[in-house]
Amino acid sequence: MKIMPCPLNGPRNISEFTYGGELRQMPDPAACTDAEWADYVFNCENRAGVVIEWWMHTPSSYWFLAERHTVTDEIIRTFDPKEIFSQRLDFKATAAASGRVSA
Amino acid sequence: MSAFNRLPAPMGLLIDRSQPLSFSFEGERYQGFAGDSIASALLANQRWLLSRSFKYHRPRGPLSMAGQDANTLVQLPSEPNVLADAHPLSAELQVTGQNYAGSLDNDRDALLGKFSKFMPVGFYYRSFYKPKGIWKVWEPLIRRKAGLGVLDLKFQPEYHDKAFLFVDVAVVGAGPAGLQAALDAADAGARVLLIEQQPVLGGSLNWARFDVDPAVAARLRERLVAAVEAHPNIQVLTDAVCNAWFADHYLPVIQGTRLYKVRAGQCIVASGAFDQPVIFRNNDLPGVMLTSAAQRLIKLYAVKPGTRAVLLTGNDDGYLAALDLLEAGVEVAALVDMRDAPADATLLEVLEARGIACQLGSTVYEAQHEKGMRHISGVDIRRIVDKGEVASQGLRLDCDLLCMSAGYMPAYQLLCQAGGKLSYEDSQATFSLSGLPAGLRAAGSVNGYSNLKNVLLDGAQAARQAASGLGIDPGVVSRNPRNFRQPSSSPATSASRSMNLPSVWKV
Repeated sequence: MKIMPCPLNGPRNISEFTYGGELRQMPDPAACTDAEWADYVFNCENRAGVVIEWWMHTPSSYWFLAERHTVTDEIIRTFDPKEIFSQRLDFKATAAASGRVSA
Repeated sequence: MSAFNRLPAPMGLLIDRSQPLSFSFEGERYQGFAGDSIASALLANQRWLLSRSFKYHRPRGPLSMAGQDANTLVQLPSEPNVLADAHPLSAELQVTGQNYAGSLDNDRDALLGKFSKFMPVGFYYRSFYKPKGIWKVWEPLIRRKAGLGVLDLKFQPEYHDKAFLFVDVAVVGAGPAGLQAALDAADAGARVLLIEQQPVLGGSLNWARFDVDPAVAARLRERLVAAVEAHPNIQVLTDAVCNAWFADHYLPVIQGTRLYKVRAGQCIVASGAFDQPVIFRNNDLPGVMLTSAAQRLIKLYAVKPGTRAVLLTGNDDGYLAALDLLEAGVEVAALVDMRDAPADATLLEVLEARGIACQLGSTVYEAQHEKGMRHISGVDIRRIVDKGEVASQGLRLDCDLLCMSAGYMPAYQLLCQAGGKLSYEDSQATFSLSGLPAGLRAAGSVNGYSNLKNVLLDGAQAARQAASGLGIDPGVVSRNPRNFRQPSSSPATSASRSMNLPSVWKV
């Protein structure tokens, strides 16, 4: 069985992990076109090569990122998402969103 | 022939002469010893015909004596198709033959061989369908003839458990290469698991000769086994089979009713090699066996494999095996070498000094038999005149044993399952394996080495590579208590740089 080196729990069997899909940048839902949004929701790149993916260690519910080669299935490294998500973002409710909630 | 056919000690490494076991085969009672396999005990009683071939019911005897062939399939009360040369003998075991009509010795279905010309592969699927509906008539008859053993429908499954093992280096096979690799890796500080299919360590050192002086292999075996058994870093599993290789060195190892799930940091497979049979007419009859099988019979089970032997060889080890046979009291009628000369010319002199006639550049054209085909009675030896061609006239020799060894076939099964590719080099007449996953290495004769010195060097090299794969400097002895050494992530492959990702992500 394959081993996934979890940044929090160390090397564990792959059966303890859940795949969370490719890491992609979400377009701004308020600003993007419908086509862009649909592309983000329904399509994925499915690249043959080195990709960055979301993975979760299921027993501890810890989400992290893994750099993996999709052809050789080699896990190159795993890291905590804070390496990429380094800044806090505050959200303000947009007019459209708040309108939907009140409707 | 004598009823009981054992050689004196020290032959018979596996058998315990103080514990006789009585068992039955085909309703007749026989005596064996603890440590015997079913086949070796039967051969010690001069019982050679062990099974019948699947389709034409030709008589079959032992071929490899290592569980590598289908010639020894027998029926146990609750288990069909048991390999008699791999299954240990137990007291009051009831063994029967299978796949025959009448008796194993007089199989009425052997008549089918006379009609072989009319029964090509899969012929009944084409022949018995017309006219429409006739298949219903033929099917029960064909079904009755198909299949080998009989299932026990009242079989109660037994309890099997599992255990986990975590080691730095797993070594599969405890022959010279495996023992050397295990020792060197353990000396470097790795915790080593040594997995051996046989009940004793030593592999081919237990039965092969390696040198004109039989003490060379024995001394080496003694030294290596003693060192391995005394080493605090080596855990040994005998009678255990490594059944597969899975990603990141996850090995299912079966020992009796227990399955070990082994996780190793590095893996060394030293599974050895097997003799290849030679193709000639009647090469499947009882009395024709691999040279290694005859040596196993002598050394492991103290069974005299015949009274008058012919050796057919394509390598120098056949010459050494001739000495083994001679010392076991077998008359060696001739040694037939398919090459024009042995690689080591002194072997010819050694054999001729002992009165063994050597036929160079020749091969066995046909094995001959008496009526009933129950054992070979002689061989027809012909000179090789051209590639794939022999002389029209040959030399006939009486013999009841023909040992054959054309070359070596690596025991590649585990390595190929792990992803290795097997290829054949015609110029060197050797097989080689390539494309193994990282951290998995072949060592010894499975890697193409047959000279004992090179086998040991290859084992040592595999251990060095495994140690450096673990991050241990082989020169420095260190004890690392961790089960796994993670491959250190290199900072150069930082995700944000290599993937060209923005530094801030919106969510």
